[in-house]
Amino acid sequence: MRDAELVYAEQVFRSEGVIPIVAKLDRAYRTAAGLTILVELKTRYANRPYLADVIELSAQRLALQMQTGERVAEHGYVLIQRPSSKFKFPHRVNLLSTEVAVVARRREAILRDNAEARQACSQGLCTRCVFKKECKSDEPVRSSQNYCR
Amino acid sequence: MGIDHRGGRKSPKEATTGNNQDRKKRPRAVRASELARLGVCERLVVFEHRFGKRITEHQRKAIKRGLTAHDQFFREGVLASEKKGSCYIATLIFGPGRETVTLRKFRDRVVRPYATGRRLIGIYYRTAPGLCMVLARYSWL
Repeated sequence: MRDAELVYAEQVFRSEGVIPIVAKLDRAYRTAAGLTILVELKTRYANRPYLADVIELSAQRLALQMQTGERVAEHGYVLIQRPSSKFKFPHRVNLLSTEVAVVARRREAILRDNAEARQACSQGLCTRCVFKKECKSDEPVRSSQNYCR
Repeated sequence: MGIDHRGGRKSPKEATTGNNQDRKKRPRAVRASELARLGVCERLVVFEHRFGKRITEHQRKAIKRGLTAHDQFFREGVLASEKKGSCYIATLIFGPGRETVTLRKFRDRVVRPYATGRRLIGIYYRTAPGLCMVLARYSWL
C-alpha cells in the first residue's frame, strides 16, 4: 500500500440492479498493478472490526465496481481510531461478493414482513439499545404499522 | 414520436415528457450504511424503520467525534496525495495542476471502463516510473 495512489476520497458510487446500492467511500487506493483497495475509518473504543464494517466495505466494493468497471480487491482495510488517540490501527478484512445482494434482499424481506428479524448476538448491544422497551426476545418483530405488542 | 393511448401521434414534447417520467422512476437505492445495520441487529433495522432513528446523547457525541475524525482523515489523504503527485509523466511535465487532474479524469472516465483500457493503464503504471527517471535526467527530451 506504500506505493499505492489515493484515487477516491469521500466520493459516492451507485450500483444498479433490483436493489441499487449507494455507497460513499472514505478512501480508495490503486496499486501499481491497477487493483483498487478500499479503506474505511471507524472511531470507536473497541479495536476490532465488526461484521457491519465488512458489510459496508463490501457494499462500497460492489457500487464502485458496477459504476466504474474497475478491479476492486477482495479484501479491504478498516482503520480503527480510538477517541482519545490520533493513531489508526489497520485491520485487513475479507469482503463479501455475491453475499451483498443476499444481504440486501434479506433486508427488503424483513422490511416487507416476509422474513422474521433475528436478535443481535451480543447481549451488551441489547443492554444499551434505545429500543430495549419495544423489543421482547420471545415475540417476533414486524415492521408493518399495525404492529402491536 | 410515439403513439398515445388515444391512437394518435404524440407531439415530440409529449413523447419526451413521458420518457422523462419513466426515467425518473428509478428504484430507491439502499445506502451501504443502512445495509451494514443488518450486521448490528436485524430487529434494530425493523424498529428504526417503524419508529425512526433514536440517538442517545452518548451516540450524538460519538457521531460528532466521528465526523471530525473523517474530516481530518479526508484532508490528510488529499494532502498526502498532492505531495506524492503520482500521475507520473503528467505530474513530471505539468506538475500537480489542472492538466494532470483533467488527464486523471480522462483516464478514470474514458479509458478505465474498458478491459483494453485497464490493460493499457496497467502497462503505463509499470513502465512510467522508469520513463520518468529518464525524462527527469534528460530534460531536453
